[in-house]
Amino acid sequence: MRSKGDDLSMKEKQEELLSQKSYAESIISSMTDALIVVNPDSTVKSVNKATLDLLDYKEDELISQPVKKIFLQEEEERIPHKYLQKIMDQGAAYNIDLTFIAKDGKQIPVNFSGAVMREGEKIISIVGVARDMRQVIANISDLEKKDRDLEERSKDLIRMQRAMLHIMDDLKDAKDELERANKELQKIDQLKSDFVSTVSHELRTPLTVTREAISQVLDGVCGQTNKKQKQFLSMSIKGIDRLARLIDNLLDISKIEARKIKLKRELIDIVSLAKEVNSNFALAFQNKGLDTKYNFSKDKIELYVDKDRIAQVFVNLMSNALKFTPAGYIEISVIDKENVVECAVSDTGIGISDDELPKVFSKFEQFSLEFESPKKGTGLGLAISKGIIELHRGKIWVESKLGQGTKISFTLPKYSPKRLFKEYVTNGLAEAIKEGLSLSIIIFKVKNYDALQEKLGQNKIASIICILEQLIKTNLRRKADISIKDTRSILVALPETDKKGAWSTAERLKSSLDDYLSKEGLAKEIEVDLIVASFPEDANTKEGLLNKVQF
Amino acid sequence: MAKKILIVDDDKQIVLLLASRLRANKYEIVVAYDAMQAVAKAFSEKPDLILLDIKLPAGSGISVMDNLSISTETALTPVIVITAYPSPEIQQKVKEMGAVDFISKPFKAEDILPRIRKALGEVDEES
Repeated sequence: MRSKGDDLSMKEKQEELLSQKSYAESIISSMTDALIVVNPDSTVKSVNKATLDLLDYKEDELISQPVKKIFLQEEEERIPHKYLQKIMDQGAAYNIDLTFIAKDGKQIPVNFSGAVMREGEKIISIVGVARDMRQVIANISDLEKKDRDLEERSKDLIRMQRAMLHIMDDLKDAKDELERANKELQKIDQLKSDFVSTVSHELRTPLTVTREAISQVLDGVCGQTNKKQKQFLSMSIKGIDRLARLIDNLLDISKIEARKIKLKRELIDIVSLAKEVNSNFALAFQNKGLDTKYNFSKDKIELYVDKDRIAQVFVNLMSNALKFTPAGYIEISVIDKENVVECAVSDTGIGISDDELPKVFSKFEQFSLEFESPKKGTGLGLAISKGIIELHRGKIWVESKLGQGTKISFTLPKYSPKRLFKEYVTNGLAEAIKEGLSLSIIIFKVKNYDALQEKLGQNKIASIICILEQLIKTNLRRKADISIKDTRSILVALPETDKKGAWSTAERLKSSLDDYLSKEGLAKEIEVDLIVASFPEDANTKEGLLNKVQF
Repeated sequence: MAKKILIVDDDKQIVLLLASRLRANKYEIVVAYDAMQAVAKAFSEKPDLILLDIKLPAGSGISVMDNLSISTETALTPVIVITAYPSPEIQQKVKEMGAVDFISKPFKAEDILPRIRKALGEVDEES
C-alpha cells in the first residue's frame, strides 16, 4: 500500500538521483585528468572534457571509435591485448606509462590507470584515467640536465683543483727559492752590520783616548792650564765630540736607508742648538770674512727631537754654506709656525744651477765648483740630513739661484704638551723595560685653575704656571729629567727613578714651589696637587702609568 | 780611607787615562791588563770595585767574574762591566752573573764617575 507520502518520497528520490547524477557528471567534466570509458569490444564509450582538450578531438570523433585511435601505433596491439586484458582479468591496473596520439599526431606521454565496471558478473566497461606527464617529464629532464651540468661543474672543479695543486707546488718552489735568497741577504746584511760596528769601534777607540787625554789636561789633572789653553782644549773636545757624531752619522746613512735607525728624542731648545752649532763655525766664518745673521722668531723654541741628529743637520747645512760662500753672509733662521718650526740656513754663495737642483739630496752628489775647493765633502751630508728630517716627519727643501745664493729649509713638527709627554713616557718606558730600570712621572696640577682664571685672568695664571715650571726645571738635577708645561699642569718625567726617589724629588720640587708662592703671597690662593706614579711599582704599562696620574 | 778600584783592560792607554782620572778623584787604583792578572789582583788587593773589560787576553771578563764568584772574599765585590761590543746577550749574561752596571765603549770619564760613585754607594740614588 502506497501512501501519498510514499509517492512524494519516490519523486524526491528520483530528483535526488538526478541531482546526484549531474553532480557526478560535473565532477567528471571538471576533472583535469583524462577519463575514458571503453566498451568490452574496445570501442570508446565516453570521454570527459579533459580528454577532448588533451587530444584536441570533438566528442563525436571519438565515441564508438576503436580506442586504439588515441594510442601510439606501435603500442596499439599491446593496449587491448595486454593492458585492457590485464585490467579485465585482474579488475584493475595502475600507473602504466603509455603514449596518447592527439588529433594532430602529437605524442603525449601519460600515466594510465584503469578498472572494470561490472553489472553482476558481466563486464560492462573499462574506466581509464590518464594523467598528462609532459610537465613531469619536462621537470625530470630539466633535473637530469641540471644533474649533468652539476657533474660537468664538478669535473671542472676537479680540473681546477688539480691546476691549483700545480700552482701551489710552483709557489712552494718559489717560496723556498725566496727563503734561500732571504737567508743569503740576511747573511750579507749581518756581515755588513758586523763590518759597520767594527769600523765604528776602530774609529771611536782612538777618539775616546784622545778626548779623555785632552779632557784631563783641561780639568787640571795634569797641572794648571791658563785661560787661553783651556779655551783651545775645549775647542778640541767639542771638535772631537762632533767628529765622533759625524762618524756615527756616516755609518748611520746605511741605517737611515734601511729604516733601521731609532731616534733618541728629548726636549731641547732648537734656538740654542742652532746657536751652539753656529758658534763652532764662528771662527771659520770669521776667517773667510763672512757675517752671520740670526733670524729667530722667539728666544726659545722647545722641540721633541733627537738633538745629535738635528745638530748634524745644522752642521751639514752650515758647512755647505761655508764651503760654497766666498763672500757675503750666512743667515740662520728658526721660525715658530702654527704646526711646525721652520729652520733654514741661507747663504750668499755661488748657488746651484737649475740642472743640479733636483740632485741636491741624492747620495754622493758632488757639485761642480766654479773654483777648486780645498775641502771635498763626503757627498752624504744632504742625503743624511734629508733622512734625519724625514725620520722626524719633517720636510726639507732647497731654493737656489746660481750666483746669488742657496737657502735650505726644513720643518720639524710641533707636539702639543700632552702628546709630547705621552711620547716621552712611551719612549722612556720602552727604554726602562729594555734595560730593567725604573721610570717615574710626577704631575703638578693647579687644582683651582678655573676659579683662578676668573679671578686673576688667563695671562696672569699662565705666567705664574710658567714661573713654576721654570722653578721645577732649575730644581731638576739630572739632564735626563724633563718637565713639560701644559695649560693647568706641569708634567715631570724622571727616568731611572723608583717610587721612593720620585717621592723625594716630588716633595723637594713641591717645597720650592710652595716657597715661591708664599713669597709672592699666593700660597693661599693657588692650590697645587701632586701626583706621582712609578714603573714598575704602580703600573707596568704606559696606559697604566698615565691613568695613575689622571693624564 | 780612599776606596780602591781595580781597572782591568788590555788597552794600556785606556787604563792609563782611567787611572789618572780616578786618582784625581781621590781613588786608589790598581790595574790589570789580562784575565789572569785581574783574578790575581782581585784576590791580593781586595778592591772595593772592579772596572772590567769583557774582551781580555788570557781569558775574558766573563771568566774573571766566574773566578771571583768562587771565593767569598771576592764574590761580593761590585763589578762594572765595560765593553766595546755591547750586545744584549752579553748585557743579559753579565747582569745574571751579578755585574752592577754596564758601560759601553767609547765612554767619557765624566759619565763613568757618577756610576762608580753609585756602585760604591757614595751617593743616594736620586741625584
